[in-house]
Amino acid sequence: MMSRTRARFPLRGVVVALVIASPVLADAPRDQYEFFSAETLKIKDRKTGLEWDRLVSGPLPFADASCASGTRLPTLKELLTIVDEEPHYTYDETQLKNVPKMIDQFAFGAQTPTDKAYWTSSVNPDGQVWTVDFQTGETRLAHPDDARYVRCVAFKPNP
Amino acid sequence: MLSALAGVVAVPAAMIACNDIIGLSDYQRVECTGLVCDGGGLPDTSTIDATDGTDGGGRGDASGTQPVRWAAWPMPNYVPPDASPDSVDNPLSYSATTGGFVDDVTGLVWAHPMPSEAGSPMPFEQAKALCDRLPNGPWRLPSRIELVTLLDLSKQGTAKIAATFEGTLPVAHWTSSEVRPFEPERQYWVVDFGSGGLAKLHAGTSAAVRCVKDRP
Repeated sequence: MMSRTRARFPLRGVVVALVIASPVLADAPRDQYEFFSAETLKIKDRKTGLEWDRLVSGPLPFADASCASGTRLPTLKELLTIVDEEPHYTYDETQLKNVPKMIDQFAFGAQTPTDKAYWTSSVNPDGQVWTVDFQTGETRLAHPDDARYVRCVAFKPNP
Repeated sequence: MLSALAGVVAVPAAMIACNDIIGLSDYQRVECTGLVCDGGGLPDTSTIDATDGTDGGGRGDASGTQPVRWAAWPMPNYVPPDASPDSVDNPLSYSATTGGFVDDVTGLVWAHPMPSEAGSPMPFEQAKALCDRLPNGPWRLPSRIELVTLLDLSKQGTAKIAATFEGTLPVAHWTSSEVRPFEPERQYWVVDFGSGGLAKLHAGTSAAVRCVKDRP
């Protein structure tokens, strides 16, 4: 009887711990994004009206950075709206190490490799293209032949 | 005793890993409907307060001293395929008001022209104090995402900022956004209207200043 009681107690503790576990990390305000689950493919930002593809493609040269019908590359200002100034740290499979990611960890964290920056549609007058680095939060100009990731977006204004 | 100690170490790591596996983390973000998200009486650890551009709100956290501000305005940024090469990334629209211009999209009020003492770059604290004492306030330093809205990336050979703010120095401008994790040597984000880029700057370094306030 004693051994049975002792065997059950730690198990119950783990179950309770799993339920209450709530990593307190920075992310977008609670009402920034519409409800999403692990399977959601598009994340709608209620405030900006932008609907973001959760999955990314690349790294690709700028000329190959295409988006599905109805979506497009974001402008620099648009892409900066999903930068989280408070990084969360997570294991990145492309870099095989823990890295900071400056993006909402629940909405985009797992789908956002940060070994390279992301293309925007904002082209500098000198022909270079603005990119956003989600590992540092910085913006950088890149040559169009460089390979960068692509996250597409659509503007879907709230009714 | 040893097994108990091992449990103390292992459980937090297991909790986080398991949350990801079973998708619990996704459901922590659901807005409360009264049906599922009261957490069984658990305390709500969230202190999230969406910034709507009018209340000076935001969210604090352990690694910074100031709340992080997120974009809280629509982004009517679609650039038509047939747009002229001179078109800016984002349509910019400003209306004159006392002491500056209202951004018709974000609702933010930008001080313009800035006083003559803002004519040369200054350290962070000095820039902050300058905004505090501008008349018709309360003015403040803009957050990173707020100051970014002034960029006009199509400009060449002059400051990459909306024409409304003529005379702006083509140099880095302070934001109130701390570079996180916030470290003792204190760095803040700056928006460089010369290059159009974002950078990190130590508080003691000099940068230019542009003040903002929320629409009354």
